[in-house]
Amino acid sequence: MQTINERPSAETKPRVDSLVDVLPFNDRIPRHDGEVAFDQAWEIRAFAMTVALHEKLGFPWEEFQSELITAIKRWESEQSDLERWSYYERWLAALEELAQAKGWVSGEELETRTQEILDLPPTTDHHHAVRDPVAVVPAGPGA
Amino acid sequence: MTSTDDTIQPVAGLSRHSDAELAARAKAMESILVEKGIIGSDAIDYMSSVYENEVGPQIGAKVIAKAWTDPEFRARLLADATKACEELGFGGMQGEEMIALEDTETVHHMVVCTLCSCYPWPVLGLPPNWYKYPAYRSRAVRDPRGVMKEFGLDLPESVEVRVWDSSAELRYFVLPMRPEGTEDWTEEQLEALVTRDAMIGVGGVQSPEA
Repeated sequence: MQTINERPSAETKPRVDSLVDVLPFNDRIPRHDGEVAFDQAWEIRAFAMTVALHEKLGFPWEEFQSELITAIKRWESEQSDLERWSYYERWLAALEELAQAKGWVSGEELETRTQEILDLPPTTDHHHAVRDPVAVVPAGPGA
Repeated sequence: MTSTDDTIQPVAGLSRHSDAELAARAKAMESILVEKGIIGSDAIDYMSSVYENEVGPQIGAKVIAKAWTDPEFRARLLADATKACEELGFGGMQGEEMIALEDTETVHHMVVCTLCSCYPWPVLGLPPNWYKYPAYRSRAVRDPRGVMKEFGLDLPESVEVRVWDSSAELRYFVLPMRPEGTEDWTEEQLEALVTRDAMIGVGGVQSPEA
């Protein structure tokens, strides 16, 4: 059975930390108390997807690093408005480039799927408020 | 003629997309890769669990610690959690209601979203991966005590357990009991004891001795 409370093994975090340490423009990675931090769910998803792909498929991390450098430089050469800057937006752009270069996805597939997802109405399945408990386990005999 | 968008148009493909669009792009990528068998979503879940604590139950911890130290705030939180959180500057979700469930000596609350992963993220940050697993969604309802034990929370038999279903319209979080032995503690010290698991109701707050 699926373990609900699965925690990453002790050696995973240092390994992922070491991948983060060698990322370009490291000082721009959002952090909280020194730890890599995320503001949005999609950011951690994009991050985790990239690390998982690297570990499962074994492509060199340098390949992603180099896509990320390109994506950031491309941004910098076109604009300077830091209000519009987002590390993980550039991250996602780099991942998209890498995935296409590797032949995992085509640009067209990505555009089509993105549009399909955007066209979905949000959480249609669970919109009503549930105002009573769904389960109650009464106190036992010792009560 | 007035333009609604008077900023300089960025070069195509380089604009700062909205978060909704970026979220959709990330989701699109993931769903295609998973569909093609290039990567499993469990592998992505695993990697995201490495930093998931950094996506912020810190905000919720502030809310709980304040409720522990300020009885008037506590009353306002229990009356209308959405408003009380806004008071502290947390919120920003439109038309959404949050309820704080008050744990007592005799009643313990636990939160689940039985259908998907509705979660009070303005307060608790990102839901942990397990929150959306079918195993949690079904077992939280069938065997809440068993689930709590897996998280290390062994409640006395004398406590009734109530399980609440979060939905997109109404999201719950738990106001745990303030641990004994913290009478002289400051709000900041107390904050450090509040865990995400305690606010979901599957785990306890940290012991002040630890």
